[in-house]
Amino acid sequence: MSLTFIIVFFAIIILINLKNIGVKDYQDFATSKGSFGMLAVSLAVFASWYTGSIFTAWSDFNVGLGFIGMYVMIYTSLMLALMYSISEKVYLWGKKYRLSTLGELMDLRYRSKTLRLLTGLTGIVFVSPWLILEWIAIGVVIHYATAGAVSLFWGMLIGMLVVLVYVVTGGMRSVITAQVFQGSYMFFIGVGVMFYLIYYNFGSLDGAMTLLSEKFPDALTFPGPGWDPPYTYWTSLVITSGIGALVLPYVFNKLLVADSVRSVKKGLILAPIMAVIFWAAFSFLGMGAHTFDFARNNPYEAYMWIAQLTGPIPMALMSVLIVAASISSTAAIIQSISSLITTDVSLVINRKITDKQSIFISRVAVVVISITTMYVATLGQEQLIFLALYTYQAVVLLFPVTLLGLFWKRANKVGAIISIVLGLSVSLYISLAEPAFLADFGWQGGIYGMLVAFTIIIIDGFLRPVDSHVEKLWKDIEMAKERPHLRKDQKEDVV
Amino acid sequence: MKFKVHHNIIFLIIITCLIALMIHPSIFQWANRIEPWILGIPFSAFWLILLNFCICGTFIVWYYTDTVKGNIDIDIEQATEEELNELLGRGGRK
Repeated sequence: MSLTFIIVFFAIIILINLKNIGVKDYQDFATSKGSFGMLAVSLAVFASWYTGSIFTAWSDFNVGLGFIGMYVMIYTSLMLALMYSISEKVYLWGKKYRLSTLGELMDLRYRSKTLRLLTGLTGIVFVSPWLILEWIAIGVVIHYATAGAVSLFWGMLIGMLVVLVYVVTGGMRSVITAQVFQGSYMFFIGVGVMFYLIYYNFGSLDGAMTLLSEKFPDALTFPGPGWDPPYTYWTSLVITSGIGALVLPYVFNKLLVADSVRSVKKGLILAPIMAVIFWAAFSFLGMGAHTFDFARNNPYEAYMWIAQLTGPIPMALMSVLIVAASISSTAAIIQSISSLITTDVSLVINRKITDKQSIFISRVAVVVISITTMYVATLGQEQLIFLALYTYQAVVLLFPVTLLGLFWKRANKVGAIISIVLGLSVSLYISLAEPAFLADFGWQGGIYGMLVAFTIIIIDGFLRPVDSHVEKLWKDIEMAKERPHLRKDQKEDVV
Repeated sequence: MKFKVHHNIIFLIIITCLIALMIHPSIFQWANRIEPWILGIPFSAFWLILLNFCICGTFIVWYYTDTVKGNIDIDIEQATEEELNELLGRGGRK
């Protein structure tokens, strides 16, 4: 039954995207030329954000350790608050200058192709591990849903083919269209299924938590059983993840797909409500599953195992939920990496690339990235969650450059480039070398790197005059605000 | 001289404070406990969910304030080829 549900789900995704086959130009492929409304923005952010690997690799936290998994809820709120505060400027500059990536925005703001290349490469290198986790999640769920009849490899391959079909043909427009459906399923059906599993297996939420407190009380508080990091680890985890998430290419580019500032902002106030409810259901189910020996010892399979225990329909619905979460994130990540390769790498190396060639490069990139990351995924998932957490320690270094670039006129390209290079070096060195103070203080490498980056940009900003082009960019925003504005419905009335 | 704080800063400070209540080591150390149970869940989980819903509420008020201040229905004209060339070193990619 699970396989049938998954096949129907795949068929619906392809069907609803039939109208999106073919893209008008590169901008259409990369950002859909800002054509989506509020609901699409919120569902796209929600669906991109919660990946399928939360049900597999991430279960190490929620099922294995319990309460600590709830940190995701906080950093999601932090990310969305930051996203909301930069949305106006990013949208307006994005629309005016037809931007498609964060790197291009940095090029516009700092007038530096080097910075654009650096931003793009950082995005490509440090987002790819997420893609690997997602392929594994798709493979695992299809393998599990078919009771082992379809191997992990073939499961991944089926998922990859579905993603390739609609991302290659329709670009961002297809990705968002599919995410509206995937996000709706994840929220309305997914949350329902997870609460049903809690009530079926434990009688009530109260029952699940009481059982856990009787058997494993450690799992109800930070840090969970068998681990003893300082409290600053919790603080650091939320800060680096929340800030790093904002500059993840597949999250950031959602600011460029909306049809208006109203849609972006409205979408961003709906997303946190969905995010909190979804993650609460997910965390409580994971914590409840901790009471089962099998789930606790096999956290990667815990969510599917508990659904299977409940019956074939819950199992089928859970399988589709994981596939929906996986496919939506995978498509978003692949599409964003292909845009980075085209916009921030190819077009920087060769400015004469035509629009048609840009689309071709993006499509080839989608295929190459998919095959390469899937190959790596076949090598196994041990420690991949920690590799994914390391990526935050690196992408977080794009935050000082982005934040100060958007709100501080004095920030300049020399400071920005040095801050990324030195900040990244400090962050990665501390994260990988793990000096003694790292464990003692609990702060992660990204925090130290960010401190270095902020210091460099600010000091350098005061040492040099404000770049002349910056005034024009600020003027753009002022002029946009001074223009008489009409809501969409009012415009239609006038027409 | 009158100093006016932009409402975005005020809302960011409110959200930062709410997040600080969940992650500041000392405050979190206090909230990181099982008792008292509220609505069938331990206090630690209740604390996080409650504050996250407060953040959601702040977002709604923030959006409403943006609407009142006219920060929602803003639009901008697309740049000309000259502007694109000047600022990004490219015209339209034809």
